[in-house]
Amino acid sequence: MDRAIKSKGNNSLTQSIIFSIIILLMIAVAYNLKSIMLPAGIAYIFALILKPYINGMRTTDAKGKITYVVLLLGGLVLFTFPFANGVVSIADEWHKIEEYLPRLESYLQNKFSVLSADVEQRFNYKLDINPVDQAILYIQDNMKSLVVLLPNLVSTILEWGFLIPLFLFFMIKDGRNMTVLFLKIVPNKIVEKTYYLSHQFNTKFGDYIFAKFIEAGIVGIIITTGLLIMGFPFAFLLGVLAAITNILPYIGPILGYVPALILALVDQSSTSQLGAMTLLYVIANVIDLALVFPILVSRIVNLHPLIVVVSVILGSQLMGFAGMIISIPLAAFFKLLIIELYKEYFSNPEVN
Amino acid sequence: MSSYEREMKKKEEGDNFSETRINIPALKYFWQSSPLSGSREGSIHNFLRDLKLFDNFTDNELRVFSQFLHERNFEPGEVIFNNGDSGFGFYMIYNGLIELYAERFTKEEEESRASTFTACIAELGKYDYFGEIALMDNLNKRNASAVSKEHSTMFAIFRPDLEDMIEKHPKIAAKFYQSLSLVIVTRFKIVASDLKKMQKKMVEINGPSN
Repeated sequence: MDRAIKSKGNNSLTQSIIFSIIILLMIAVAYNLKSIMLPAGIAYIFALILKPYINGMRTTDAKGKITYVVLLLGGLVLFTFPFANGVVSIADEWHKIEEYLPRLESYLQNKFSVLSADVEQRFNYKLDINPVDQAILYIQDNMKSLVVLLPNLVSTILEWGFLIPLFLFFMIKDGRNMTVLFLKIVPNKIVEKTYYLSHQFNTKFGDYIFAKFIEAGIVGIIITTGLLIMGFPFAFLLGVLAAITNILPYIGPILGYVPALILALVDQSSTSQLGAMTLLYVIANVIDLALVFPILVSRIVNLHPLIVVVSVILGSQLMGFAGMIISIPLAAFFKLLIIELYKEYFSNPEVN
Repeated sequence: MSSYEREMKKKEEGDNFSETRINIPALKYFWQSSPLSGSREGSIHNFLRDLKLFDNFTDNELRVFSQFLHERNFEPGEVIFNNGDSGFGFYMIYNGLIELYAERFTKEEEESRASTFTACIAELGKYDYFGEIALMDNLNKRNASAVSKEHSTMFAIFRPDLEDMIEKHPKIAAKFYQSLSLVIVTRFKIVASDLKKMQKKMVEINGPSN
């Protein structure tokens, strides 16, 4: 149906007041409905990731649409078996970890007693605090609270399983209408910049999260495959861990490597196996840094390494793990915003 | 004037009407007279049809294009954009009067809505459009100031809309860019001819430089 024109008078002061009130209301609602905002945020990220593919599917002819559907179904079939297998293997490995924990504890206790004896002998100083005991107590406490919180967690996951697809569907279906509706209340003076900047942010944000998922997936697959070939225990679990930690820049690869190193030491693996495992992590990260990152991620966010580190630290302090992930695209957006503000207030229009 | 009327007028002006062919304008007339069709009086689609910019668009393409437009209302004296501002929008005037100036409005002038400029570059009314450079230029800088002289209603398309349109309806986006290019070429030709005239006059006043 075509749109009809409804001309009406407009007062820019009223428009500005209404806009400010609505923005404040939106912030208040978002703050008070945290339980809904999180699944809505996840659905929003999925909507941003899926948008180019849905648009691509819309624009192709019948043949193209069939190709899209065939590729999607083929991908699902090909992906389902390894994925289901992987989940089972990860669950198995998770149970096996329980057997490893006492061995890990005794290994760490041994190492610590050797270290404290060495320190006492050399510097005549006795280490009073035992960090191994503290770490084990911390893990036990957390495990207990996890058991208490488990029913809540399950109900939250079930709630999300319903809410995320629901939000996603309506965001994809009515996303444009929502934007148009929102722009109606934006004052004339700032409408162009608000729209442009929010569009840039959405594009960068969606592209970055998608690129990071792909990057993490590639690293995870390389590590899992390599460890499986080497016959290293917990290949799936370590692969998943390497993929998750890879999301964090710079320190992520090291954090992913530490559990594998501890396992190799606890298992008393041979030097060659330890070397091969280390080499595998190095190769996976070199592939990531030299090939995947420049092609996928760096063209989306062009930030100085120092800004990346500072923004990740800030993000982790303010919002935890989620903050670490979204801090980089947010920093890229702020960079864009600062450039626009600088152009607006400091550059000489006559020169431009 | 609707597309049907336009086609009939063209035919009256001298085109031989072949009775053996399917009468598309007649079919179009029945389609447009349907209460569900997009050609109701006062629809954006109808307004776009009367813009020279969309001469090469079909009715369906106009219907799709109209979904990407934003209605913006301006008060008398309200500055739409200022020379040197970052700009991302192209405006088509539905009603009202817009004046373009080469100078930049100061903050005080913007707030008091009273400009001291007298040399207006252009006065634009219904069916005129402006701001096309913002959609094509990467610097996104406005090279003139626009002010609404009356209560004005305009339809704007912003750069993000065009980026969306390129993904969703590439053919329509390409047609729109083609039309914009023609507008810019026409304006460039006018500027070039004005420049030639000015150079000629200067030669007449000062004599040849050598």
